[in-house]
Amino acid sequence: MNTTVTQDLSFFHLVSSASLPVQLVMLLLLIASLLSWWFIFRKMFAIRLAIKQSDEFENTFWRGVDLNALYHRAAGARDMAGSMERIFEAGFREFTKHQAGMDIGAMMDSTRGAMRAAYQREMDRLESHLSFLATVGSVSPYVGLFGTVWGIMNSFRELSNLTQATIANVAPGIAEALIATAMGLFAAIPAVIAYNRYASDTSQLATRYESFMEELSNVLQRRAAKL
Amino acid sequence: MNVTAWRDASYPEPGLFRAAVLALLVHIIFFAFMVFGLSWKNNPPERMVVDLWSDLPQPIKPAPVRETPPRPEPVQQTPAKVKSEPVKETLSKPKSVKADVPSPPQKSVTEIKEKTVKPQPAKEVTKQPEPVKETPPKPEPVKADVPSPPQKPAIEIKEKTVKPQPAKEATKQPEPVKETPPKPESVKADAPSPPQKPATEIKEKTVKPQPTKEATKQPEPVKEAPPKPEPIKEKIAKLEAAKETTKKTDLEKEKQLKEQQQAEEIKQQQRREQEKEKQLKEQQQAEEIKQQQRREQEAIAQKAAAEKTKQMDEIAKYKAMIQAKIRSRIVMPPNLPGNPVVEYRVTLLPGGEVLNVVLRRTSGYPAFDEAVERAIFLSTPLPIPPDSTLFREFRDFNLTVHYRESF
Repeated sequence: MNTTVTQDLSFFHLVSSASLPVQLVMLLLLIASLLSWWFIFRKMFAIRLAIKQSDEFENTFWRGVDLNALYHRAAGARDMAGSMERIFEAGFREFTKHQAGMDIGAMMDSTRGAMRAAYQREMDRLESHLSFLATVGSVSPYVGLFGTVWGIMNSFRELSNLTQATIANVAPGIAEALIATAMGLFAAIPAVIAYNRYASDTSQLATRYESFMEELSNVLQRRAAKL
Repeated sequence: MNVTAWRDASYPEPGLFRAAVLALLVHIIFFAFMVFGLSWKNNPPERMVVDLWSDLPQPIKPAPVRETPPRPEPVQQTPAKVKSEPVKETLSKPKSVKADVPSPPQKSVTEIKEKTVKPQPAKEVTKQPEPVKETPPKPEPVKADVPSPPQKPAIEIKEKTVKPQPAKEATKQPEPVKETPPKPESVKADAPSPPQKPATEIKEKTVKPQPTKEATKQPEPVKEAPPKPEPIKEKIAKLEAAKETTKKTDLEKEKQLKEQQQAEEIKQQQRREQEKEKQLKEQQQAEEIKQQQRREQEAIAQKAAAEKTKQMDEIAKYKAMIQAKIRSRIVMPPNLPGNPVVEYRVTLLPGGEVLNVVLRRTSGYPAFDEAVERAIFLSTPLPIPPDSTLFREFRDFNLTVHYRESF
């Protein structure tokens, strides 16, 4: 910590003159912030794409397209398929496997099971990294606070060596310590906002998928009854 | 198993790289904000210098203060010059008499120092011409002192004439005396007081012609010196006794002595006349200095009077402006009988802002009083002369407002 009376209170000087724990805290927070922001943008793109694909698939599905054609298109371009498309694909594949004179009840159970498995995978994929955002959002303020407390502790400890204590002796230490808090808040605030936003988005998607699964199982059951 | 294989395959997530770039961008923006935000705050705020004046400065006074101080200074400088001159003369010319003549200023310096105690108050007071008036009376005692020194040298010369060698020195004495006038004059021009003391010093030093070389710098040997001329007198007596055989030579010597005495008396008279002239010049100079001072004082007084008249005009102008401004802001209560007058004492800040308003004489109508008071506060800042000296008039002033314009 610098105790010089003439302080260069520029940001980089404050960071570079901070004590090692504070610097480590700041580094940790920087990484956390970078990662959280990376996930925020990734989730933003992913969820936006999932919603768009779901809308498109629901449109094509309810327009009365042939299910076999839909299945083949979904199986052919699996990489381009959306979550809902993959759920349909999984369910329809399971349905077609059991067509030869089987019990409808058992057939529908296995189909629902396949769809639920696909749904779980998709939800897991959508909800991935959301826990990280939640962690960053809840923990990084405390981490930043830890850095701040440590820095202020040090600056006050150095103050004890001085006979004449002025605010100028403490100010730089507190300033550099508060940078840790600022960074923690900078990481936490968007992470919390993003987490809440994406959690609600994924839950909306989940309800959409579940309702689609129920509707698809009904459609398949009617189709099995016809056969 | 094939089914599970493709089911486990992770699908490529869209915009991984784009997300990373955006995340970095966000952080760059954040840190840029932090850096510039902190560096902006790093600029020290401009310091304000606040002068606290117990009283407002008066620009008129300093002018005489600056004029007076230079006068006492030359008095101190001139002795220093005179000192340097005698030193050069003593080194170059062995003539003791000449050394003596410049020496008086040396003592005069010490005396001037004593007397400078009186001129010093003049420096401090600067406006008081009284010390200056005190100085002129001092040259008068010079008259009493001045004639005496030549008398004593005359006696000495008589003694010295007995011996040929001192006589040479004695003859040379009158010459330096003639030379003396210019030097004291320079001193007199600056300070009339010094000549008094050189005269007394001349008396002391002229008593002993030989020790004068030393005496110029050391006044103490002068006191020890008197015993020396006595042995000289004894020797002279012996020589005279030896020379009594030749009375003719004595008569001739006596005649020579008489002639020399006469010549010396004439020279002494000349010296007295010169000294009187010097005194007259000194008096004239002192009178001129007095007259100059009087003229300066009169000029200052005239300037001050002119400035006062200007100030009065300015004050009247600004008072009228203040009246007009306040009157324009008054919301007159309607239908008051007669022409009530309200008087307020207004205290202003240097910016013209109203600090305090005190009702001094009520008009009898509280509505009118309050309207005027409100108008006074509404019309801040009041028009105030930019000159700080004039502002003193407006620091506290009485404001009378009539209900009707025509009064």
